Amino acid sequence: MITAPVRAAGVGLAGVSVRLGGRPVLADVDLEVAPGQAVALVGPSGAGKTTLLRLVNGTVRADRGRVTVGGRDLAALGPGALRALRADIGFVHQDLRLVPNLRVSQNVLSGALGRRSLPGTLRLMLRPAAADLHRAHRLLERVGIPEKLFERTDRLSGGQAQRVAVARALFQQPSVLLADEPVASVDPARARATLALLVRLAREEGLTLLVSLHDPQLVREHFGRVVGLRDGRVAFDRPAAALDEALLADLYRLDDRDAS
Amino acid sequence: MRPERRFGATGSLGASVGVLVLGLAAAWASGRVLDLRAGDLAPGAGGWQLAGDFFGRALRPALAFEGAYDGGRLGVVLQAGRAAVTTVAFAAAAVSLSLVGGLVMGFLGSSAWWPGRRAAAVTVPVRLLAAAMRSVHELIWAVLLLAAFGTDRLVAVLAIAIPYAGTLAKVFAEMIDEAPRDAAGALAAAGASPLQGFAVGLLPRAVPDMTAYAFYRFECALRSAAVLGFFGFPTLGYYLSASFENLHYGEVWTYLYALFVLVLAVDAWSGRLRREVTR
Repeated sequence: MITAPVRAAGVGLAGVSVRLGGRPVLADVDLEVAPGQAVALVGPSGAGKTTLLRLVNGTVRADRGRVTVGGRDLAALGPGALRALRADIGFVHQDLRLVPNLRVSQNVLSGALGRRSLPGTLRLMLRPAAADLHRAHRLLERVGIPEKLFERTDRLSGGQAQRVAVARALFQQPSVLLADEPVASVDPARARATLALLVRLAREEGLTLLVSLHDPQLVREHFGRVVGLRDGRVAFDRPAAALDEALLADLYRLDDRDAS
Repeated sequence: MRPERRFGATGSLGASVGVLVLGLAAAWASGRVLDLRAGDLAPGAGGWQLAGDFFGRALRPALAFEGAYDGGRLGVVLQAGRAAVTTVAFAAAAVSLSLVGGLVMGFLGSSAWWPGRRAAAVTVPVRLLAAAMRSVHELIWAVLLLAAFGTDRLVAVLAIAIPYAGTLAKVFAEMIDEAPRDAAGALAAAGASPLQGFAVGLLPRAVPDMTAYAFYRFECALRSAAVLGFFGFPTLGYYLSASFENLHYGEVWTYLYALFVLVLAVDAWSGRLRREVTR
């Protein structure tokens, strides 16, 4: 096992509210995640899990309250500083968002764009340095598909493509890794393997990890801490072992208006 | 993310019926305006004679010149070969030039290239310029440029390149704007600049279609270059019109077949290249 020095950054939300399109999505959310901690976000669709994750990399702005990453207030950052911060935060999207007709190597390498100049980008995409290519290959080894380095990305299975998305986020060498429902569209065995991979890689790299998901079994298996979101508010925040059926039933209960 | 446009099943069916009815109405109306009658097409005896002579030579194209000029047993074939090479050269020069203009204007005219609301300040003038360039046909450009510069060969190249650049700009801009933006968005969320996200996340998805379209325009340019021969440029059209005027129909067919072979060759070549790009 590879041991890396902890370079993680903590994540903090203090009294954060967000309205999107006039609708309140998050209301007065407080959340403190220590550097290197792995936290699962659970909650029904529309509870604000994705918005919470997007607050952390600054793609959604808080209307009220403070969002900090590594102690830095996101609202105080100019465009350049915000981009530099984003380069330090990996994001695995549910729908992956890879470029299908590029090679796997190019998709993985594109994770580093936030730290490259424009000429450096061209070089990275067209004639990558041996060191970069070597690092991309090692990452693919760690996610279990080293032989796919030069494959076209749209030739991969769904599970393999997901691993490429994880490798791209790690190629960034981030200090925070966010994953938005990474196992929502894969079978149970693949879901278990993907989460185990994310948690293991985050621990090895010493990353702060925030993952949204639905399956309580997987939460208990892989995470130390779980945060429940409902209607844009934190419903509970406790050790994952304490996640029981009563708590979940209450979190996922249908409103009268939903049920009717 | 752009919202997807969706039509319900009844909506799209209604739209199709509407388009069909509109099309039929337009056909009837334009027939009235132009005073079209099928009977007018019936040729006189001389017309039938000419058509028979011409199409009778379709399977017997000329190898040697039909007139007094003696160019050897394969004179016309060699002439057609030389004219084909010239035609390709004109088309290649014109398409290369129009690609430069089309790429630059296509990028500037696409809204994906410009983040935020400033986009329209650049895209609208660029798109207007492209529309102006392509709204004038290459034959009219040729007439205008010939009047100004005489029969310099650059005139033929420019006459094709200008409207083609306008067309390429429009189509390239649309292809870039229609490419999915999810990967570019993901790269921007990971700290990439809008330009980096565009170049790596978006552009590669538009390139296969853009390549295929550029090849199609090269095919069109071959025909345009051939037609510009009517103005005296030494392409296939020049020899074709001369042979037609001299009633040497066998020669006309030789030149027509040369054009046909050219178009087929470009088609085969672009097909192979497209497979390379999409592999």
